Amino acid sequence: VRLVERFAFQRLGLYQAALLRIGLSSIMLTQYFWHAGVRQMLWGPYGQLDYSEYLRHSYYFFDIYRYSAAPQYVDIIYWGSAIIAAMLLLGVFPRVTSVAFAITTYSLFARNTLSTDAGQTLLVLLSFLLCFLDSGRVLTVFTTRAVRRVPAPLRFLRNIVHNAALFGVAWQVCMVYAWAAFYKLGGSTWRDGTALHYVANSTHFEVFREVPRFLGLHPGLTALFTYGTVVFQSAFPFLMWNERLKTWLIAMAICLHMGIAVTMGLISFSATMIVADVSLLSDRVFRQLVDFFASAFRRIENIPGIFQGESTRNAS
Amino acid sequence: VQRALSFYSGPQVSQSWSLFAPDPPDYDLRVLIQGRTRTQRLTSWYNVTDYFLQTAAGNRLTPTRALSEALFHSTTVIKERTLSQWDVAMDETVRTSTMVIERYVPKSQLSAIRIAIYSSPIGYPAATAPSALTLVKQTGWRPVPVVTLTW
Repeated sequence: VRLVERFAFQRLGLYQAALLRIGLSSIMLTQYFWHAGVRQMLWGPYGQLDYSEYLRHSYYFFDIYRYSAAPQYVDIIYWGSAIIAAMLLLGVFPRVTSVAFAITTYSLFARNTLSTDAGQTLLVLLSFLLCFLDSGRVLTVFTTRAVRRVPAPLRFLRNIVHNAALFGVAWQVCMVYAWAAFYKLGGSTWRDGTALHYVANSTHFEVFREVPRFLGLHPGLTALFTYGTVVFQSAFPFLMWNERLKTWLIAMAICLHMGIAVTMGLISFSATMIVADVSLLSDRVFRQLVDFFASAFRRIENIPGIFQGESTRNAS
Repeated sequence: VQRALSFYSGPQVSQSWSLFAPDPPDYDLRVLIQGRTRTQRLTSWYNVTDYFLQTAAGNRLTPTRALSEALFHSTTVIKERTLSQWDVAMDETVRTSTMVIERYVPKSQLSAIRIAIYSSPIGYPAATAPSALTLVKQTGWRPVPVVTLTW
C-alpha cells in the first residue's frame, strides 16, 4: 500500500530525471558539433547510405529525414536538432523539447543504422522514456514558474506516468546488462576466458597499442577481465534493486565504461551507459551528492581571494 | 498498431544487446578498392580500412571514426552473411570506399570501381598467422556512385 501511495502521490527521482535530460542532451549536442564536418557523408542523400536505399528501410512518419532528398533539408534538420538538444540541456520547455529531442535523435540514427552502436540505440530508447519524465523540475537554467493547481486525479495520473517512466529507465538498463550477459554465456570465448584477447587485438577497437601488448603478456588478467565482465553484467540486474549494493554497482559500472571509452575509443557508447547508470542512483545518494557539492561550493566561496576577494574589490 | 508495437523490435532500436556476444569477432576485415579510368587504365588497389585507421591514429577524436564504424558494421554483415541487411551493407561499403578512392583519384577520371574484402585472423603475429589473408567478397565492376566529400 505504501508503495502504491508513493507511486501515486509523489514524483520520485526528480534529480535522476533531470540528470538523464542533461546527460542525453549533452551527448547529442556533442555528437552534432563533433560530426558537423562529415554530416552530409553520414546522413546526407549522397552519403554512406543512398537516399533511395534509406527510404526502403524507413517505416515511421516521425522519421524526419525521409521527407526530402535535398542536402539543404538535411542541414536544416541537423542544426534544428542541435538547437533542440541545447534547449533541452538548459531546460527550456522540457515537456515539448523532450518530445522533439526523441524524434530528432531517433531520426538521425535511423538515417544510417549501420553507423550506430549499442549506445546510440540505448540513447534513442531512453530519449523516448524521457518524454514521460518530469525532467524540468530541478537543475534548469530557468526557474520554474509557480505551480498551477491541477485537479487531484490529473495530478495522480501525472505522478504515475513519471514514476512508471522512471521505472522504465531502470528496467531498460537492466535489460541491456541482462541480455548482454545472456548472449555472452552462449559464447565459447567468454566461457574459456579469452574473449577480451580478441577485443583488444581487433584493429578497429585499438586506441593504444600498449593495451593488447600488456594483456598479451598477462593472460591471467585477460581471463580475469573477461570473467569479471560476465559476472558483473549477470549480477547487475538482480543486485541493483538492493539499496545498499546499488551505489557500489553503479560506481563499478562507471569505472567499467570509462575503461571502455579510454581503451576502445567507444566514447558515445560509454557516455550513454554512464548517464543511464547514474540516473539509477537513489534519492538518498543524490541528496548526499547535492549536499556535498553545495558544501564544497560554500568552502570555495569562503576561501579568501576567490569570491570574497571579488566582493571586497567591488565594494572598495 | 502493429507498426507501433514492432518499433521496439525494429532494426533501429533492436533490443538484442549482443555486445561482443556470443563471441567477439576473431578476424580483422580489410576493404580494398580499385578504379578503372575512362582510358581503361586500372588504378592500384587502395586500402580503405587502413585509411580510416591511420586517420584515427593521427587524431583520436576524428569525426571520420563514425564513417569507419559504418564500414566496420557493413563488412561484418557481409562476412557473417546477415541477409536482412546485406543490400544496405553492400551499398554502404561501396559508397564509403568510393569516398576514399576519390581522395586519391579525381572522380572525373574514373568510370568504374570494384571492391574486395579480406579477412585476417586476430591475435597472431604476422609470422605465425595460419593464413595471412582470406578473400571474403569481391564485386564486379560497378559505375562510380555519386558521393559527397566534405572532410
